[in-house]
Amino acid sequence: MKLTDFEKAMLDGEHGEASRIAMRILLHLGRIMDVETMVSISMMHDDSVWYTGLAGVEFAEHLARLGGRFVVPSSLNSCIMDLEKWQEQRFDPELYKIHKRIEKAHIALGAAASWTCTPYMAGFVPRFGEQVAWAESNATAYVNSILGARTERYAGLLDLCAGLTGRVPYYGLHCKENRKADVLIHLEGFNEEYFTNDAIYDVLGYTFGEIVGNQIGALEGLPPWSRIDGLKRFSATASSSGGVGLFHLIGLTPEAQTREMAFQGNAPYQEEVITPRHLQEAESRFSSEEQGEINMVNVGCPHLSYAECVELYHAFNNRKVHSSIEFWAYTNRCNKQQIINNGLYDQLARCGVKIYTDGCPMSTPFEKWDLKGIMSNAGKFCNYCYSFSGIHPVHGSLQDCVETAVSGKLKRSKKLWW
Amino acid sequence: MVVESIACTPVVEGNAKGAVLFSHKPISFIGGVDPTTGIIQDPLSDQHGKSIADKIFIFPFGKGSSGAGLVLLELARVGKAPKALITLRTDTVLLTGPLISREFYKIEIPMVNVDESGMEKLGKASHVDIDGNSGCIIINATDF
Repeated sequence: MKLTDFEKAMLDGEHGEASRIAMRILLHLGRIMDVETMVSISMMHDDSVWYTGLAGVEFAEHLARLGGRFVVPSSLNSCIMDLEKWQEQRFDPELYKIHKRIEKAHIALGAAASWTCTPYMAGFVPRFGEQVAWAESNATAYVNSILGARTERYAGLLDLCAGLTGRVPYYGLHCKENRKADVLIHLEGFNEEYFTNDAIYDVLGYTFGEIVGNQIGALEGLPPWSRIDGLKRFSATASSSGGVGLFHLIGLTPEAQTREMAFQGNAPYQEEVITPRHLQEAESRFSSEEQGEINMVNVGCPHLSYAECVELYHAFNNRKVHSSIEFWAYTNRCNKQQIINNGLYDQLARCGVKIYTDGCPMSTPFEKWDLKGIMSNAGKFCNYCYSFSGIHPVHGSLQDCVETAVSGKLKRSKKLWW
Repeated sequence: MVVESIACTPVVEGNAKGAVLFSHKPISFIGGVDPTTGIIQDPLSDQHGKSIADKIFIFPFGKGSSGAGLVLLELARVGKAPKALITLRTDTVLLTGPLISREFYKIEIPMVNVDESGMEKLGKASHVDIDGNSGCIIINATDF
């Protein structure tokens, strides 16, 4: 690879041992991928805080001990637990102790204690075309697609190397020519009314991800008034059902104001159609069709935005969560502060909603809660929950989730695509 | 058994030989592989219940979450890493494990790519010998 003098100096250890290690790893990656140069990044999203064993903890601690510091603004992804309310969530104290080690190491490296999978709704917002290194699949797909910044799909640990050096190999989705759509997907048989139910964005995202796999898809036909929260759940769910790092929504997302832009003037390599029937079939794959008991409702995958917190409050309309149900809502620390400031937090708490930050619904200590059935408004959560817990959740709109929670019985309003 | 040699493209350098675990389906490491044992726990996997520890692990490609690197690094830490990885194609997420375990734990997890016909032949292999330098895999050599 052709390195700049600055990059060579890093490789020679002139900027410290941590950035030397990081540069060696990135150089090895660049050589494998046959990349010519590095590219400077201006932000990093750190998903290495997700605990899968001590290896990741030891690596971060090692880099911190060596004096490593992130050279670009860096946000922390969500971890497994709410770092304040972990006991209420019934997490093991040993696991909490490990999380204090994780927190110490990553803060020492210079990350902000954002602890969210929605950094893009917590003040970490790159501009169009900006080169960044973001890990976590929903964050990556969102920053690439909705904001039009550029990142590869980084894995946990490699994100640290990018943060320490401010560099990544210049390849993949960092390059404009690799960002054109391959597959054109049309919506057929839908009218605007379909999109007034927020659950459609998850179901559509799931269907889209299954069709495109790891290709880049462009979807035509979404209403221009589609809200950002729907797009957020579309993005998260699509990246869970396919290997989606970038997608285009024609007329909505910045690199796809027109079909020609999405394909960078080329003809689509493949064309597909999604009909309401496809959505019905897809939903039956990631959502349980059983009518059994539900005793947990989980919303906030990805973390609820401020607008979604308000929506949740209106959906409850001062009614209370049934005594048989645990209602968990995840948001980020910024939104939590916003809803504390205007009193919404207390009002939701009075309804019986448990509001958590930092953690992730996917890592709920399922075995500690004697769960009969789970409901969620999140397509991504429903898709992954089965492999994490063996429980197949029921998918519904946010309003369905609230009606179920209030009545203590599964409620799913009939969807136009059923 | 027929001894046969197929071509491969070295990705992460190194040689390895040993028993094979062959997965027909793509693998999701997060949630799909137990990081303490190396046992495949994804109920939808065709190798559900088998361990990738100390095996030449062959699968078409990785899928799902971006945590594959964390899982492979943890397997290296606890001594349950696969001896090598053989895939059809590689991606950044998958590469992260071998790249960092080499640098941090000094544990090599060589990785090579093969084409579709090579993959088909590997489907019948019980043991393989990977020569990452010459870019060749010997299938079912008897000298193990």
